[in-house]
Amino acid sequence: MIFKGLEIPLTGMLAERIRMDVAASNLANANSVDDGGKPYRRRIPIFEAVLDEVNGVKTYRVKIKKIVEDPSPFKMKYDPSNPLANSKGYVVLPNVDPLREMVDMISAMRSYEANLTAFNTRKNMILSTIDVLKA
Amino acid sequence: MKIEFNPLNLFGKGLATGRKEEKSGFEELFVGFLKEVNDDQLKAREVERKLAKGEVKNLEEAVLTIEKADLSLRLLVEIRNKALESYQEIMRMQV
Repeated sequence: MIFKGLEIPLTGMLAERIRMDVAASNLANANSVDDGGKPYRRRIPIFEAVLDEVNGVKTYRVKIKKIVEDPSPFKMKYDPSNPLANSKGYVVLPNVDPLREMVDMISAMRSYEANLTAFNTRKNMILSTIDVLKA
Repeated sequence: MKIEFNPLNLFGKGLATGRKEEKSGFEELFVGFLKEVNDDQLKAREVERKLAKGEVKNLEEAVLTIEKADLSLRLLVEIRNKALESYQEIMRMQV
């Protein structure tokens, strides 16, 4: 299969896209508190390497295994006038740190670009091999 | 796309037996390849239609399908050119 080399960077792109989406959802919900007073928990995607053996050459695709919740404690904010505040005047806010999400998004974008470059390089390898037939 | 090309086998068969009796290895190979390339083209067309209608869920997969169709068509055209060139070379031969 000559397209195998194109499919692996593709799975990387898919995974990075999901990582980007998860980071975006964390960022968007940095202040989300539902009516039950339960704040949003930060989500983390877990990647997994999947063996993809062709003719004895072991290559690994990447796959999103699952998206787990971050168990770290919620942020507490003193805001007595807020209707969601507890008896001591604190509001429980999501355990999302916007700065951290921004860094995650930058990392996801760069990894996506790296996979895209791998895809393009592989494509150019095939193209220049086909060019041998010209001449 | 699978390419199993055995030039030696092809050569022996092609010369020894007549072309009419059984298909030569190359013809069979080429027709099979042609079909697969056509299938790739049809798939790519379907994906392009979906792209235009906004039905595509996975942009990366769509790009791969179109890229596959492009690469296999290029390879097919080059093989066809090469085969035609060889034919013309034989036709130009002095008898």
